[in-house]
Amino acid sequence: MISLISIIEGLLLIVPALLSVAFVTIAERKTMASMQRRLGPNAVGYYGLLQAFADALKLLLKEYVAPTQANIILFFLGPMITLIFSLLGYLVVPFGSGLFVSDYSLGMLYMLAVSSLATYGILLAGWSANSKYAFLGSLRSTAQLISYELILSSVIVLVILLTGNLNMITIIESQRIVDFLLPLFPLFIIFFIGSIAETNRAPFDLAEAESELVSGFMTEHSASIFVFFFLAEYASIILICVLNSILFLGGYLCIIPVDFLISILNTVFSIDNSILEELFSNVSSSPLNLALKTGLLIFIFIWVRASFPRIRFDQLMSVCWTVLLPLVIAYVVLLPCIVYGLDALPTQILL
Amino acid sequence: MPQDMPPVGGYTSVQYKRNVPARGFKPVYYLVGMHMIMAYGFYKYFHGVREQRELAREKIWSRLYLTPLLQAEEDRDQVRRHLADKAREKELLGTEQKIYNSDRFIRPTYVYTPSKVTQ
Amino acid sequence: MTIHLLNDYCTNGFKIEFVDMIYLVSIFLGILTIVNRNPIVSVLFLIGLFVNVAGLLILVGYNFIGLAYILVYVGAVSILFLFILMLINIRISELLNETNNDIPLAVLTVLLFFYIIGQVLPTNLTDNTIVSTLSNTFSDERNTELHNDFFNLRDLKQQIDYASSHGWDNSLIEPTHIASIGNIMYTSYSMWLIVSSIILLLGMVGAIVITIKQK
Repeated sequence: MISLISIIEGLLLIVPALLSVAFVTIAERKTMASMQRRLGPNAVGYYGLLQAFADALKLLLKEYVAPTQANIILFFLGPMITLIFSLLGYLVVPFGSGLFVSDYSLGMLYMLAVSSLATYGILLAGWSANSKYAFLGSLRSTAQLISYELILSSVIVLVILLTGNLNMITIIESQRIVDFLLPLFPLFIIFFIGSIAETNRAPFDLAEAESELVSGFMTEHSASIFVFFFLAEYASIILICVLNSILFLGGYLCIIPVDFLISILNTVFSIDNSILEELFSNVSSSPLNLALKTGLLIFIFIWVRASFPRIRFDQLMSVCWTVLLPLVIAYVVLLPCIVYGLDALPTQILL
Repeated sequence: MPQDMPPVGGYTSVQYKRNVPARGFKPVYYLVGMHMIMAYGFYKYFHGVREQRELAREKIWSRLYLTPLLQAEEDRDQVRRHLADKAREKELLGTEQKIYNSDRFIRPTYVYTPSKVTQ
Repeated sequence: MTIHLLNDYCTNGFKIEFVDMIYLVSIFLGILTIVNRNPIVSVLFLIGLFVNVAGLLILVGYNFIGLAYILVYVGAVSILFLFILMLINIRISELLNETNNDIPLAVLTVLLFFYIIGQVLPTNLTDNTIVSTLSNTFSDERNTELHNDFFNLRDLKQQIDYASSHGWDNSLIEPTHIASIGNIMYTSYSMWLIVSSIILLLGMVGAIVITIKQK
């Protein structure tokens, strides 16, 4: 039995991740439908809950078409690379207190490295299709991803400044007193905008601007390899929402301000409940907290998509390089000064 | 055949700009509010780091106090192995021989084969 | 049981055979990088080589350097490389260039390199990689066989254990690599950090000066 643990561990992570991807697609369609006063999918299963599986089955059963002049190996390798690297990021995510696959001391760096590798899939898929639309889409998408990755990693540097460690669990546990949403409020907004752009979502979905490029880098991809791209897109959305909630919203830490409530109880009943508090704060850090936070962020992703019109590509790039990046760099200069001035550098003793 | 040209004097300008009244506060208030939130956050963070340091100090001191005990255990084991080794050597060679040329203490590493391997 | 052991090797353990495998794959990828005619495919093999070397670094324990390798070389530099190559219009005549006639030279250079390096580098007990064994058999110099009861103990592998006196005061804290590097770099060697940052700044300014439009 023990021999299968390494496989079961992986499956326990991958299968729910893929299931959640399926339900996020449904959630997106239903949410956008109710924002536009439609019904949305409601035929398959209760409230259309099984629509995603029906779609996936349809796509898998379809005939795949590959262009004759395409580089076939890269044409199929591209979507696979995208999917694999967007799923690899889940490896270092702590889902609850003590619930993780890998407690890697360089978890954040690993996540950055893996997410930067996912760009290759898009670049290769666009180039290998031997189509101008796909190629232009992939170049746009890659330029966008590289530019916005800069912002994301600079913001992550500031979070690391406050935690003093690259380990994901340490990042979460150092938010027990206050979520980094409060001290890093503007950076959270920048990070969120950056993550919308990083996942190629509306209003930054220039990669698949239907009005100009037919469907962006995946114009020529159909059937099962299209499913790969589709899954990869939503998997990376969920992953980046998880990352947002880990970095700024306290990950799996309890949403209810337990210590505040217990201190009120203490003052009312005048008893010392510190043991109870300790117990409750450990029990309450369940994966449900992370799920709720991530769900909220995914809802905002969908909300943004339903609300804002797509912006032009040059505007997208100039907003990255001339607005967001100088802002982030200003905070990169300012925040270390504040932290040093307060003498509040986190402890460097590695226990 | 006359081409389709713009009318003389050009097209009339399209009014794309909406003239809706400004909503919400002045931008300055948002900026100030954001930095108030940040200030509160850093106030909390400051106290958090103080607590974190105190906990780390406690942990390190507990380890410091534990170190002599563990070291003594280690040394006791080492002495036991050393004496046993000397006894074995005497039994095999008869006399006690030095293998090193100097009197300097060389930290020995004993190789042994445990009877039960738990892996 | 084998699955479990495989998992153990990949995550925690270090097997000298894995290193050998990665060496061979790296050499293979390097040759493919040179031999391939299509520059984009060639760069892809180069990326494979980078990932491979990063994997090697992580396997032998340099986690941070390996990840930084992926982040910097694969994630940033190679993407720009590929990006530019895709935008360049490559003529067919360039693709037809004969590049295969350099292979004997390459093989000769590599063999010579290993012949010399294999003699110079010190060998020790744990050094039983394929490459060093090969170079030792060629050089025949350090190829002293150690037939001894003690060394035969190595065959027992899992069955032996070592007992050495252990200083507990060394294990008070366990800094990660990145923390140790940082501690050294920002204290003792801060001068070199500043110098390298000035060089980087110089490179940046240089790039701006080159691309600026003269009026």
